[in-house]
Amino acid sequence: MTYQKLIHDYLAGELSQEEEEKLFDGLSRHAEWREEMQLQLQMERAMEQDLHSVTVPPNATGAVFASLGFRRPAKWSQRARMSDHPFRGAAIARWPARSMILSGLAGMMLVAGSAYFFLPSHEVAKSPRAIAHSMNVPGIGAGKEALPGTRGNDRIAEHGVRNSSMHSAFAVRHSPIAALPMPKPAGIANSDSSKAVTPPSMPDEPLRYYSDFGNLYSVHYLTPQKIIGVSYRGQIFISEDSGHTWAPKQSGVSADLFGIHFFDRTYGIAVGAQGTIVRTSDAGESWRTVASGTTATLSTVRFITPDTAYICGDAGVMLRSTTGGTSWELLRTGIHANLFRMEFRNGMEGDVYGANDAHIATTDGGRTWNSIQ
Amino acid sequence: MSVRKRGLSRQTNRVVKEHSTTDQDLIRQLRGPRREQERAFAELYARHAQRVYAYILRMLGERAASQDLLQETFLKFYNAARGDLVVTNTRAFLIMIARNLCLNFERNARPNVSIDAMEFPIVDDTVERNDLTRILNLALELLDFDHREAFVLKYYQGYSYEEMSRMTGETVAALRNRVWRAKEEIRRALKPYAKELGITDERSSRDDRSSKRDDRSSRKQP
Repeated sequence: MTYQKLIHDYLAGELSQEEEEKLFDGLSRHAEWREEMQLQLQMERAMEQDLHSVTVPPNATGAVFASLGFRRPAKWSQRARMSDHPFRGAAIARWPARSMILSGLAGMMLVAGSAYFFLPSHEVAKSPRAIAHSMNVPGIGAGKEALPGTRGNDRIAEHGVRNSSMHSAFAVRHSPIAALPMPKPAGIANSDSSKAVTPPSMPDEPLRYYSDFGNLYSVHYLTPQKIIGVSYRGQIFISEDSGHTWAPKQSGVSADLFGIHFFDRTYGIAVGAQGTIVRTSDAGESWRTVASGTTATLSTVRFITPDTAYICGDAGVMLRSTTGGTSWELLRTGIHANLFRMEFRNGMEGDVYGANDAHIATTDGGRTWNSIQ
Repeated sequence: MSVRKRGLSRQTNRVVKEHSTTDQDLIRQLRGPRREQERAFAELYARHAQRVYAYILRMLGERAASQDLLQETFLKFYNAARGDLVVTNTRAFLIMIARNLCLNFERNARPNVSIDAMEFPIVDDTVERNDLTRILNLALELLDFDHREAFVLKYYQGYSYEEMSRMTGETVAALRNRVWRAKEEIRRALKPYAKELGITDERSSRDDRSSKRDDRSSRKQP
């Protein structure tokens, strides 16, 4: 029996005592045995995570119930919005209500005033002019594929879905735009799909298509003009002119960055794949790596006070810092769902949401967590 | 013998504890008045749709077709459950319906590729840990139906070989062999990325070199 098969059988709990001893002996002596064990364990872990990350698309659920002549339960409509949104991490930010940021992978979220518009990926593939044009068509979404979102609730955007080969394929093919500045909106009538929506007017000057730096996974406004965004392979971009132009900054890491948050205009933290945390104390000009103690993908970071900050990520990982982000402790959440969004009322009480309707809450600063059904 | 328990029995127990109304109760309600049917179906769907959809999605690798088959699966389930059929394990029953639909889809939609003739495309020059799932899924899609099915039932659905045997009609030995062969192929696809995925590290290689040196020196001794 090969050592690969030996490891496979061990993980399946199917080795005899004698075979098990042989395996342990081999593991203690050979690096390739240990690497093989690591590979197989990682495969199992990835499959488990993958299984939990799959969510039933809301339209599929709708089709099932419609085909039986049943009404779709209200809680499924809610679930659809909460867990099936094709955005990764906190992909939205606003400064004044009239500003607009769009980001994401399989699609973009356009924010204007208190209404949201979602454009599917093939729309994103078009030039900004095309997007602008489609935005100028009254009733965008009504009878078209772009869908009006929900009024004034930026929770939606922070619910990401992170599996999907579609995302990756899209990222490779289209390298979508990250952010567009937006002047005062002409007016958003409402976000009800049954009624016509008056889209905001677009700026006169040509919009720039920042395909050279791919996706901005998350952005943060420092001022109405200054925006900081994080992207793949550790890229950080800063715009000083409301998103018209962007300058790259060195983050010092190569992992994808998915979340960013600043406590004030100076101190900020960005988080990403492989447990990456970087911290700035000069408004994003320079960044330093901070040890996280985990290799899980980290999605979202939020400062609660200048000292206290939380990070959530894949596989139920939650981190807390009480030192302004210079050091982090791993919290035991007791769940394995990928977590995307946090709402902390203060340093002690907060709710965290994730894939498959995961919802946990703490009242003691993350020491203990209760699962909310 | 060390046994790493996983699989259906544990999950089923948990489900039973979590829900005061059993699946069997709900299936009985599917034969009742319309309003009761709606409620019972919604609950059954809430309990099982995610797992069933995950199974179909990993079997087909196509989102649109998977959604169609999910709909068809629950339609067939509803019609079957309203008859006299006794369903003891709802999820397994749903998976069996989905499996038959996937089989039909595969027969009509794409030719099978022999597991020995598979070639994995190069995904990228560099990959990161979070790409592991993507490569896994890509490799999975390239397996033939039988191997993919065995692998998905075992690792994505957590069924025991005995349960898999009841669902597929294959022998336990054949399923064991398929799972291992599928895993071997997927491993083969992952191997080139082991370093980028952080699976190889210098320390362990160093340990191995010193271990080999130890072996050689111990062999030299009389």
